[in-house]
Amino acid sequence: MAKTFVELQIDDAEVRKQLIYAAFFVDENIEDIIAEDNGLTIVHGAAVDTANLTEQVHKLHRRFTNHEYAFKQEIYYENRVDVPYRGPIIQELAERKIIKQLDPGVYTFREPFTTLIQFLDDSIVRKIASKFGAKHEYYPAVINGATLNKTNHFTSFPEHIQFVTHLREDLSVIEAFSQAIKEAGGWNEGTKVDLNASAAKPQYMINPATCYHCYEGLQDETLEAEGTIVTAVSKCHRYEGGNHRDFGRLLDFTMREVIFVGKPDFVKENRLKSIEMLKDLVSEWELDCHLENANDPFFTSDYEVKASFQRQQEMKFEMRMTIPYLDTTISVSSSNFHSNTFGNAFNIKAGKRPAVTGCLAFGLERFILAFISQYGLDESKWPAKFRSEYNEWKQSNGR
Amino acid sequence: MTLDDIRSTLTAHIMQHFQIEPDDDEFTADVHLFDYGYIDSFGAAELTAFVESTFGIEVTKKDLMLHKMNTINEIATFVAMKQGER
Repeated sequence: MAKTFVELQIDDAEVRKQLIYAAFFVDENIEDIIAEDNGLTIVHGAAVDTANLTEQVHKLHRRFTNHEYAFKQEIYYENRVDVPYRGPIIQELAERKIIKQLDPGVYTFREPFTTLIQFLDDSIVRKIASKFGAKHEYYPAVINGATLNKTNHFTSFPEHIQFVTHLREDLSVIEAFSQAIKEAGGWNEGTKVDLNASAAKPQYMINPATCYHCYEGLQDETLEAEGTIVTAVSKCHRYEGGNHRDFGRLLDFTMREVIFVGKPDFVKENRLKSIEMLKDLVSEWELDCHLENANDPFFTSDYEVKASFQRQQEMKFEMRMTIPYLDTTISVSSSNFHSNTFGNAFNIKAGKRPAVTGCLAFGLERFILAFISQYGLDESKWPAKFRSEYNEWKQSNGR
Repeated sequence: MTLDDIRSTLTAHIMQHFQIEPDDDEFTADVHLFDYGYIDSFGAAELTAFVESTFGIEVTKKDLMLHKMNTINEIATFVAMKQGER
């Protein structure tokens, strides 16, 4: 393992965080990135062109720091709680066999984590989605490339995409593949399969965001009255390279969304109501957290324009929960306003005009990981309201 | 160019480029173009380029952060101010 030090001036903690995140995508041989006072130390395999590595990291640094004016950073709400637990929760969950890491960012979950996830999901539906009379929808795990193209995902977040493919419909290709697997003794490092020749061009990707299917489902429709509110939960996938080492940054995760589609006032007013409901929820459950404005990690050269516009127009808020033992926070929920981007892309009309859209999204696994990082696994230490609701829910659901 | 001229030029361009119906009575010089779904972030970049080329001014990123440019009236006022600086 080799190390390359890239000297950089990084004064802003947010810039440092975004730079480290993006730098993992510079080279697939990067193993670790360590922040230093005057730059980054990059730990990598021997097969790395260090001059190119340094140049690319400098390029990213310019992308994140080339601002004539600082990004708008504001905290809109805080719920500060002196929480009782500061232990290394991931280690404890693994030792007690409640979670098992299969690969970076890929886990299996067992009780009580699984019951907590289902309780949380049901609570979001009862406390938020149902109050809007949201219609329930159910979506595929995959999304067609043509649909994903309309969401601008290929240009905004290309590094996240996980492609789904299959062997070409060609008997000789299928038989050759099967034979190669047999000869290698299974699917392993030694398997000699030329996927370029034997796999079809991917038609599908694994869905990276629940709400995309909602917009696809409304394609070419004119909405009744002021608009519609939908809720759905689905598996989502985002490939985040070496960043999967971060607390709660899963490759495969579950996203519950409440989605608003309609006329501007309808979407904006309901989005604001949903944020108030979210604030009520974190307050009732005594979660140590805050709500701040944010931007998506656009992985493109026009990062600055998109990110600053998103922040300036308050198009994205994140609810960030404290992770006490790491002295950090993670985003567990986001509220988004997309203006007419999806209404135009999918030809959804509200009245005569393209619909606007917004959503409130929850990462369920992250939310529960953050909760137990603050309160631990001993139920007697959990907040009274959370505990009573959880136990009532378990009883009424036969858990 | 007067403020009215700037406002008229902007209105005509936005209506044509962003396909706004002539009988859309919600579309006024004071409507928030982004909140009310007339222009999204991609449209904002295009509109900025139009403003620069048509009115002969430079819209810096600092301008975008410091000046409210959410409505036609706000954009027109900003253009008039920049032209006055020349």
